Amino acid sequence: MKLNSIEKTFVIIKPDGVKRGLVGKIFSRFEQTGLKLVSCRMIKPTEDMVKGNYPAEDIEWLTKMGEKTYVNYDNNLEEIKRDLGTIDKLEIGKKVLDSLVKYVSSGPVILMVWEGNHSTATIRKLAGATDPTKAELGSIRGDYGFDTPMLAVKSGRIAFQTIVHISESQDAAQKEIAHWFGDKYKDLGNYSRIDYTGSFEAFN
Amino acid sequence: MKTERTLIICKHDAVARGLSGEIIQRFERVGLKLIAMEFIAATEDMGQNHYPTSDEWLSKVGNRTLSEYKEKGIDPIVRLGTDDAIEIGKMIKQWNVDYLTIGPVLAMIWEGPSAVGIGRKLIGETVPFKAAPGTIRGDFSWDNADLANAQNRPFYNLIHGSGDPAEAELEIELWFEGQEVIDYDLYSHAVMGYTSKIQRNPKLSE
Repeated sequence: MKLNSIEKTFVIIKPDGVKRGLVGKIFSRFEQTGLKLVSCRMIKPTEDMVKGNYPAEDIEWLTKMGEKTYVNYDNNLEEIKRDLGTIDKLEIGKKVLDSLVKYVSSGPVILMVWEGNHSTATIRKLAGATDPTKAELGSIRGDYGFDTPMLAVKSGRIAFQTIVHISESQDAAQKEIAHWFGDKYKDLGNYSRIDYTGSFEAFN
Repeated sequence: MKTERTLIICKHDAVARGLSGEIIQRFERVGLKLIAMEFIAATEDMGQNHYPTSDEWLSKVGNRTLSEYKEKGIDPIVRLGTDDAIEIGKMIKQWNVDYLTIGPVLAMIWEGPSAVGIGRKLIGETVPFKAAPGTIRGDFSWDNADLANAQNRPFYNLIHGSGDPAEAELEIELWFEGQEVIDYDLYSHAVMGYTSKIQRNPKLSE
């Protein structure tokens, strides 16, 4: 039986998650939801590898990144200028990207692909809102996150630490799997998770 | 500084039951450092090479089963068709290879002082029924010799951990051949005496 709602979702446990010892907790949350591990590798990404995951040359995208910083500063140009040295959205976007690249390549990461019924929506819910002060209790970021955009800027990091990355859609998952795993990707999902038992048949 | 590496495998029953995270957590919280991890479908060859092939090892394994059968009054010739220790050793090795290759497994290298011994302590005894509560096998399995004997299979014991540091290096070579070893600092090590004593909080001396 082929169901459209059975999806594959790409997840990265970022260096802060690994160095803080949160790998097992994150794994358990996905496993408890009945999701099935399909692929997993631990790597130390290069800066190029991280940069290649973003549309680094896309001026529109970079400017949007700068706009997010404006939002974080409530459009306070004086403070933006003071903390970031510029109020140019494109320039700020480039700085944010540089910092993101440094963050994700600063240590080991765990690449994972999880499969399940509506896995993308489920895992995005489990991860919680990107800003940990807004992430719900019970979500990964709500329970373990505390870094904020402002703390990051004040600490000279700019990009804030969010513990996990989750692909946004099925298309994004496919692209990101190809980018991060490359020819090392192995889909090993041809097995049964006990939590799947009884989910694909009528009650008798 | 003397440090060790150990190969830990969440076998397929642990993966299918969704216990990988539980197992990883136990290694993380004791302070060991994860330096490699891969979800692998082991081939028959990998399985065969994972266990020793020497007659010495095979007869040790065979004799263990023979003495267990004797204790329980099981006739090895009726049950297994032979009472030759090496032949029985080969049979048991094949059961273990089948168990290791039955589905994908999560292979990991954990590093730290006495990583091999710490790993074995966390895992618990080979026979889950005998493993102490608080160990992985004691907490998550009830498999015993009667069940395993009746089904001519190895103990379903969820997890593999290297037996000694030399064995660990051989197993790491087999499971993570040619892969880079990742070096980084686990934050907890700053207060665990991994590379130095805990640093005095500077504010206290002000």
